[in-house]
Amino acid sequence: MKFDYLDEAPSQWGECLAKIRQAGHACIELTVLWGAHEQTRGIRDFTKSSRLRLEKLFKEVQQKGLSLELTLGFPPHNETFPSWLMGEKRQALVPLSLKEGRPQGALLTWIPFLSEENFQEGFLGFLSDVFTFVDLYRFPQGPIKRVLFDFAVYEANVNHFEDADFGRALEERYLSIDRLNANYQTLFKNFQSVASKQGFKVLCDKRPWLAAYDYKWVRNRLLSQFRECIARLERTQAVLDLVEMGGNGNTGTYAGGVIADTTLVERIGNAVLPLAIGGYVTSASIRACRLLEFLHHYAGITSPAPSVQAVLCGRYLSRKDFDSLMETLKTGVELHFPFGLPQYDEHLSCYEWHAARKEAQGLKRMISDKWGKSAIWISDPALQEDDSFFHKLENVRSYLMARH
Amino acid sequence: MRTLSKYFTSSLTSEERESLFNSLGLAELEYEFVECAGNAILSRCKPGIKKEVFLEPALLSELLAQPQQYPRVFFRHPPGHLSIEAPCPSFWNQIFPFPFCMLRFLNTEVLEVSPASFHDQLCGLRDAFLALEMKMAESEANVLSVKGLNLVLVFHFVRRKLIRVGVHPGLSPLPEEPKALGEIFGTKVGLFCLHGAVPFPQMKDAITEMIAHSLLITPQNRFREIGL
Repeated sequence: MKFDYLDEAPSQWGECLAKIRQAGHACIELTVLWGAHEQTRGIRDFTKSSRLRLEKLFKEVQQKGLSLELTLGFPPHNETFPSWLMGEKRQALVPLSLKEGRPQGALLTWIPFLSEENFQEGFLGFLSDVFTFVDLYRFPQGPIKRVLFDFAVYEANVNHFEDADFGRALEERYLSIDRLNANYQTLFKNFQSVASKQGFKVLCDKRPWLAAYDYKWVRNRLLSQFRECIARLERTQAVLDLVEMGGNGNTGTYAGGVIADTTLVERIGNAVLPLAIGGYVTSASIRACRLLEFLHHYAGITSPAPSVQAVLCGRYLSRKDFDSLMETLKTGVELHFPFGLPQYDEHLSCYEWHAARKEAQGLKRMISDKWGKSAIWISDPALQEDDSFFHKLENVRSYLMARH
Repeated sequence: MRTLSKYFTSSLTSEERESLFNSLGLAELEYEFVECAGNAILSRCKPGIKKEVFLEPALLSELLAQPQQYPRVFFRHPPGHLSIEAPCPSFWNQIFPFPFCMLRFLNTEVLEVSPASFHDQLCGLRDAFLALEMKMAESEANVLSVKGLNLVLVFHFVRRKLIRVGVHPGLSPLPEEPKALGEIFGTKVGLFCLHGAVPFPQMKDAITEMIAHSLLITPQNRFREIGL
């Protein structure tokens, strides 16, 4: 049960919490927003303004016999960011719908950038202060049982080049610029020239899937470093057992029953938006986005324990996702690849497939000793994204439903 | 004071935006919303109480070749790029749900409306809401009550700029004596009452009339306003 203490008069906190308790809830979720508590740079208020008195609130929660789950980070809210950060030079570019927490089409907007020195200094200081309270009011002496982080908005930042470490992280992935140039058929002289909006536009034009994978790989790595920074804070150490940093899994499966490669899109709850690195959007990411919209629209394609699963991917699939598919096969599930089999991983190494045998109904079947009774099915010929794309996809849906 | 903290209003939820939209009668408005980047369609829906999503066609040129059943609103991102909006709370965006909130871009190059008569009607409505915003900007707090809507909206302005729109649980129903609003907020309050849904073409006139009949309430106890 969520409780927004910033929206309630402090004199009403007790009454609201009592009502929540009477309604049978044992735990409340509370979001503590940096922007609300540090309206002036360097002056964090947890005691002066009545609406910001965290200790008073924690005591009220405990008195009502409720437990507490705190959320920190950057959830959609008017007071998520301090206003004094808005004028900083470097900004992150994120989907407006994610920042506002409601649909806004595919529009993007600017928010403060977390690698900015003032940002890091301010936010880490704020966390240190909050963790002091968390340590004092942790369960069982106090009500706080868990502390969660919400970094979702930064997990969809398409302007991460602003991070000075972007080029270095890309170098960690490729080790040498020659390897990157070989994969993309490009002529970059160093990683710093790749780590820019223009550099990635070239990569996106050459190999959209691989560019999307590389961008997300670096973004996830830099966000992990920021999480590690938080974990290393002295104050965090005292409450580390309560803290869950959350993770980012932008590639991977889409929903139970249908496995879809989401490398080319940004997932926002149930909605999907095309991945637009630096604001630049490729036709491949728009197609992937509409494909997932189709899946979402026809939710009936999914089933809790399907014996046949559709795998929607193109010629590329990450090694991690491929391995996960092979594990799925061992559980007796049959996999159907309507768009054909993936051919390359993120290093452009080829996947090895056995010869497929033709079956009736325009299908090829593939078996292996490793898969037991499971099999892989391929549409013959594979679906092409032509004029009748959605019509053909509808046929795949009907086929899968029949197989269930 | 930067925020509306002293009034303790909750931000509008998606459901509340939808309720307001329905109460104004705007949900009856039939049109197609098409978002595209270059020739590729990103999304296409027919808004209404139950939004209908269209999957086909995939290309804008194909859609334009089809006969037009309803008025269409096109949001066009530049080819190959998604549009960027600077973070600034806009009145229209704060109170209306998607996709109607995208009409805040009316008369800009990214938004195109056809036929022209529908465009003109929308412009009329937009102008009426702009006039409402300007009138509201004269007071720090403004209360909007819509007949049939079980919510009272509060608009907070600082230096004529909209800061936040929220709901005030203590104001539903509105006090019988409007003067009480001045005491509740401790500042000048604009009170606007709209008498329920009106057909879309008459909406502009209804809002103009509402502005003309709005009340400006000044608190009697000025000490409260300065926090003494």
